[in-house]
Amino acid sequence: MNAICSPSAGVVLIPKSGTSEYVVFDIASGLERDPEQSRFCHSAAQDWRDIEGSDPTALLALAAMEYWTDRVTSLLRFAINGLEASVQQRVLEHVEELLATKVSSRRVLNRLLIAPLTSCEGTSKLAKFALASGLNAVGSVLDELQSLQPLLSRLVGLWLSLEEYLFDPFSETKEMIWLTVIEKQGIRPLLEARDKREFLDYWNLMAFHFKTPRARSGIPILGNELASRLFPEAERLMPQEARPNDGPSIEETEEQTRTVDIHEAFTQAEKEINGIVRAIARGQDANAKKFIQQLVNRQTRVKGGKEFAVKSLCNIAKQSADLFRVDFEAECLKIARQIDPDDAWMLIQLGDHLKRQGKYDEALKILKQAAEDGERDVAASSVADIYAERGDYFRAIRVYQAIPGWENAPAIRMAVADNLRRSGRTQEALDAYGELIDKARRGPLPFTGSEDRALVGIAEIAKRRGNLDEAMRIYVEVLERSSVGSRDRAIYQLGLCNVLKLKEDFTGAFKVVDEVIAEYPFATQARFIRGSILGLMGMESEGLKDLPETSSSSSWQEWLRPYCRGLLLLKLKRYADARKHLVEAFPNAVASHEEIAILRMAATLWFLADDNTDEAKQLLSGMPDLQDAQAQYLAMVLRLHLAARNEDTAAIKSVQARMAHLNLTYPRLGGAVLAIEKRDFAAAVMCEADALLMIAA
Amino acid sequence: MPPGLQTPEGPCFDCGAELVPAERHCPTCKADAGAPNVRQCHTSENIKALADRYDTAREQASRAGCLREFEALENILKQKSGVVVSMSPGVARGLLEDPRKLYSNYEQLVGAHVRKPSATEDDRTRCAVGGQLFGSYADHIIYGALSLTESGLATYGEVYCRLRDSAVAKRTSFLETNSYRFVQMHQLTAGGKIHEGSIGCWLQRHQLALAKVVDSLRLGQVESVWQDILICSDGKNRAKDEFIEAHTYEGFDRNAIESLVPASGVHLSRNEQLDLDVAMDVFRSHRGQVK
Repeated sequence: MNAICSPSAGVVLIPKSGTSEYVVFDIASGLERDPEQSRFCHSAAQDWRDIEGSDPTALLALAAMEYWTDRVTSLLRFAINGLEASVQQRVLEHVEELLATKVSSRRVLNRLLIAPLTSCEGTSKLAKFALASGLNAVGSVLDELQSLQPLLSRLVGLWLSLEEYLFDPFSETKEMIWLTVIEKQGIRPLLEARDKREFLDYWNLMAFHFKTPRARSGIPILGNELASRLFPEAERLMPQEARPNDGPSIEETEEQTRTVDIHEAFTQAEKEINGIVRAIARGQDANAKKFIQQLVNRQTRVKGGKEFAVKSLCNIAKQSADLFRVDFEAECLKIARQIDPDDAWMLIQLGDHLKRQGKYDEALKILKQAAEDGERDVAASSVADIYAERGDYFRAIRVYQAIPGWENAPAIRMAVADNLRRSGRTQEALDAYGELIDKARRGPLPFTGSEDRALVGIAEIAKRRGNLDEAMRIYVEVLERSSVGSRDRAIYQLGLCNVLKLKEDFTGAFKVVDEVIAEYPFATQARFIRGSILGLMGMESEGLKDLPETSSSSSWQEWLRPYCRGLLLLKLKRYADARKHLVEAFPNAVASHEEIAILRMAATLWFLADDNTDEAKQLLSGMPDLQDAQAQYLAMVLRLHLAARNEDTAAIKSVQARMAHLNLTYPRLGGAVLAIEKRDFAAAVMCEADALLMIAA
Repeated sequence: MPPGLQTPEGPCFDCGAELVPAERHCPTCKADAGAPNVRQCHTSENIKALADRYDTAREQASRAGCLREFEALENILKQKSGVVVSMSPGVARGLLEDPRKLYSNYEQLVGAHVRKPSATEDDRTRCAVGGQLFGSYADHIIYGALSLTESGLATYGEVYCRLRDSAVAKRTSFLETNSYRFVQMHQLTAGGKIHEGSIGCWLQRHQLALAKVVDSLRLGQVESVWQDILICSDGKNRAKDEFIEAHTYEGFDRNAIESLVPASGVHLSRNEQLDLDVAMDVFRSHRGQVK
């Protein structure tokens, strides 16, 4: 069915079943409007549009999307053209809120790309202002809008130059066809098309928005004409596999640098960066390295270009880290540091990278330098992260809370809450998460996105307390939310996967982790987890494929590789190989306080399997306090195992009493206890190895 | 009939051909014959009837000892009165966004009989009102109020938009009261004749207003009182509104706006308040005339 909506009037007229009349709905509230009131609605004459939907609910939803898109687009246009400071601030905050709740940035950006801006200066300033104010969604839209202007100008110029006869098949005017591209299809993919084929693939989808066969046949003709003008000699200039985009070669670029303006240079660099990141994501490492070198060479040749080159490299490094390609992250930061050793932001990123590699002392040194170079607060936050990684949670919290304005910084408040959780101050952590959720729902805009993450913190507390059903419920709820970004989604999926592992739902856990790997093939942590699940499913040899012995690159949570591999080898009774991974690798592992405790238990298990009770005893005696309920229980089972092997009756009774006090039941560990009581130590080792595979994440 | 005023049927000043009352342009030479609603006021019968009403009102004021006030109000009406349209903050924002955007009316909103909203009998009547007063060009009419100030009727929108005289004088006519009430009061039917002396063009607006408000004139009255007499509304109930309705042929864009002021005492939602502030700010920067 069809309806008619007017975003400017804020109404939609939906046909009344069985009559020729329409019911008037207020779009913003979704409520039927009093006809008496609506009769005096006025609107811009131009903005009436027909919409099509399966039923009134769908029509109302579609009208609402049009309304909110129109509102955000309109307000952003006003802001770009300049508003009084206080009004502008409110407008941007309002738009940020709508981008988080009502309309996608992509949709708004497409609408804003209707025609080139008369001046990019206002947009640039506004984007910076928005980003500085923590209005990231607005800042991002404006930044992209500005960066796409040269491409848009070019396409619009070509569009306007198209001969009139090309429009003969259409009953629509040239302007209406352009508006159809903007409103129905979106122009951004056309601007970012890398070659003629990509352009035409997208352009030809437009045919679906025209009703007559003649018009549909006219779409490819228009597309071909535009594509030929956009990519006149693209194929001849450079072979496909050797170019990150359709930008010119280095030689041509050198020639161009004399005339190209700074904005064009920025746009070109952005296209190249996108090409490089695509290559990294696809595993085309050689191409990616070549493109990076080309980009750096070109940018550093221009006067003042070193700064841009460093920014480009930091950008690629960040995106590489997001793709779990820490090898490329390291490579880019290394080159960036060679170009400008004092760039504060590069130092922050490098410090963060080193921290994730466990090179804490080096990271602290770099972060100190970053603080001296002007990024004091961000550096302090990273330093606190390092203390947290080392298990010095209270010191981390003190450093976070010494950062000026930390109460108003959602990321820092979240870090404080996380450290309260890790340190075992669970009630305080719950309170802190609760405050963040409250602020996200009712408070200032910067906190809008905090709810999902805070809920995940609460889920982790439930998991640690052994309340796995509650933990799973929260994870499932969060993952159902459309507000969760794709990288966060992957991390939360791994969290859910670990809960499923603990619930011994290995099939479910495998399905979840497999989805993550399909999305992020270089997410090594996910591969380690999949390997451990395969081991738990009795497919140890299959699992080992996800846990190769050596790796060409360092990776986040690298400690999981030898740990999981060692346990699988132990289950396969390849004791010598298992020792290498569980015992020999343990002292050098780069892991947090809690993770070290888990590694210590795995090493203990190897010694128990080897009947070396002295070494096992020594390792267990140095075991720190554990917060995780299942980890605590596992440590007790290992103590019971040790006492049983030593036939130390007093110790056995003592451990059993403590275990009874905990009143927890874990099937695998229950199996281990039974096996120990029967003095079937080989079976106990298998159960304990499974339990260790389950708790590692 | 005074020279220079084009009548509904013509003849056309340019070619002498007969005009079509509902059409703006001469069917023969296509010359602009003026807005049809304005031409509708230029029949000799209406001009005479209105002049008679004015003369009667003047005599009445004189008898009541209020001639000075009558003349003072006449001067103010000639010099200061104009058209104020009320609209929602969202529409005001939209109007100011794009210089090409035109503000259009209810009939256009619902599609001039093509898109009929489900409604009460009153609403159907309202649809008919435009047709009864203006015939086929009803969907070209913008409704407003004659005002001595920048204020209009809060019952029709939270933002008052006073239009520049030069933008509307040639295409605006006035009806002595709310068109809905007028049609009911005179039991006007489609194609029926509008009561003579009850409409006036821009140049006749003072006559129409004085004929209407003479009963309310009192000795010693000053300008501030007359706005309340001309536009009387409690801001809530449209049925109680009393005013002289302005009919402007075709829409207007942001350049036609002389002033933009918020209605006082109305409650706005957060979104509406933001729309209003944006509209005011943009208008201020465009015109520098917002009070």
